[in-house]
Amino acid sequence: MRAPFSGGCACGSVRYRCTADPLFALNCHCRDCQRETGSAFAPILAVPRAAFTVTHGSPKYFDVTADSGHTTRRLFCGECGSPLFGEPGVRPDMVTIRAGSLDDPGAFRPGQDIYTARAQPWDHMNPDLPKVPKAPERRVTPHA
Amino acid sequence: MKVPFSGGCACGAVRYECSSEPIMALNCHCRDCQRASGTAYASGVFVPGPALRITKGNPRYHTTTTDSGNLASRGFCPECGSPVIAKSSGHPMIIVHASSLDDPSWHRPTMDVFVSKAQPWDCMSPGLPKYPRGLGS
Repeated sequence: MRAPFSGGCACGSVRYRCTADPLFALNCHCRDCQRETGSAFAPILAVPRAAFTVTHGSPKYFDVTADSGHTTRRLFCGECGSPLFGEPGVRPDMVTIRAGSLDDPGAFRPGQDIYTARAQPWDHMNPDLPKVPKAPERRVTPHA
Repeated sequence: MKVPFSGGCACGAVRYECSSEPIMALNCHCRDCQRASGTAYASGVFVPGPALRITKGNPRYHTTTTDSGNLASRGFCPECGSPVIAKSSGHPMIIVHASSLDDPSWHRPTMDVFVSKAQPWDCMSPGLPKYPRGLGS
């Protein structure tokens, strides 16, 4: 999908905008993402943090320790609860938008499924996408 | 599945227990469920209202008018945002979000609803009945 694009929560209290094309997109099936969505997986659109701006409101957040050992911050609307985006401690240069919060979620194109070892039996995945049992093997070195 | 069963949010501030077997379970692909979940669909387990008891904390509710004209109240944890339960003015059941269960593996959706609103990247089980809009549409 092409920049710029925007999104926000169900009630309109929190809005964001991104002015750069996504770095990558994937579906994460880990238990933390299941809890966050209440469903099978989180569809994640990773964008450069420098290009991402919250344009209205202030999301609430919840910090979890990810498998990487880093803290991942999960941000949501405090008024309506909509999951919005994440700030992964392992990649401080990146923001991970939840595709369901995009104004046009139809433009989302996931490239792989990760943490498939944690997927629920009722989680039906696209068989054509590469499957990674846990985190992607080739980690990108965090920027200094 | 065994009753009672329990569940809650990611941070543990909200917990519930249910003393009855689910009545039904489905996946809803409507735009409201996409926004509320951040993902492709909401996974709903319907239980009798009186059987579900909040045992810790209080969900915060966001209420909207649905396509059917009913009021839908979506309950989430005010601390961590996890979707936990939902209620509708159209029926007396409580809808538990499947992944708020302590053991989500026994969730057995029997249909997909509002598939006319599904995203192109939403990959559904071909074996489940599909309804373009609400139940029975």
